[in-house]
Amino acid sequence: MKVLVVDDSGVMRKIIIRSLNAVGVTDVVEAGDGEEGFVQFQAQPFDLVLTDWNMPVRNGLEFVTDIRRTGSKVPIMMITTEGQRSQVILAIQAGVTDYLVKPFEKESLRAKLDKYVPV
Amino acid sequence: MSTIPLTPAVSQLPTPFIESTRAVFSAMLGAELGLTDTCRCRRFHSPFDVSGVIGFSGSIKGMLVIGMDKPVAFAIAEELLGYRPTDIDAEVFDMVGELANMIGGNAKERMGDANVALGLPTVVSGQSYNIVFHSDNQLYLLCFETPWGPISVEFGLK
Repeated sequence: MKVLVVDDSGVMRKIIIRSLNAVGVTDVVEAGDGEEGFVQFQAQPFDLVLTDWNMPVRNGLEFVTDIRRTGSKVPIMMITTEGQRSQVILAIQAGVTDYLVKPFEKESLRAKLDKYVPV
Repeated sequence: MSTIPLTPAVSQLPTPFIESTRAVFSAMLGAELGLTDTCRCRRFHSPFDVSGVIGFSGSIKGMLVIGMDKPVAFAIAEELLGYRPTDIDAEVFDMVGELANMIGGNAKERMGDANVALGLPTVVSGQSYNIVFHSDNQLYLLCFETPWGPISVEFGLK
């Protein structure tokens, strides 16, 4: 299983990757913003995309829109501080499959990842 | 720092920031924070080694600053990343900025105003610097005790 992790915070990417490793996922590609993430997305196939919302250059919502414009059905989980209902609706309308609000407990992220990681 | 004790009339204003700071440390670090002091102040003068700054715009405008000393930052980084930095490097900057981002984002959600946007965090290192808030801002200082030492969360909003 190959996962793309997009967040402008390297620390947050490491936290997320630690959780991915804990559920057995080691094939992970990182990107620091939506533009870099989309370059990676077009360069290789992914089984899951995890992305932040507020990022420089190209934000997570634009990144998700870019992915869906390609016709891809890849599951996309947005991990963001944007927790208001109106924002969640915007993200779902853009094509987000799943949503996790920062701050999160490790167990919450792992429970979300379990839905996408093959046993 | 020139400070004014909180009166009951203004004591509710910092609540979203107290709750958001506690929520971030509880969820991400499994740490319960003690609130050791709250006060209104006239200007921000950091006594700490490193500070994360994030701006609010929209219907609420202002800035939030989280400050901590190096040993506290290193201990938090160790909890989050699994290893302890030895200096204030790019990773520590990133971590302090992300803490500011999460505390600000969580406070924004608790304030329940959809017309507020957060900027991207900035991190400052070195002691004895001043941050000048807009003169219209109401400035508050929250002091917390973490399991690793003290931190402060300062915010000025209008």
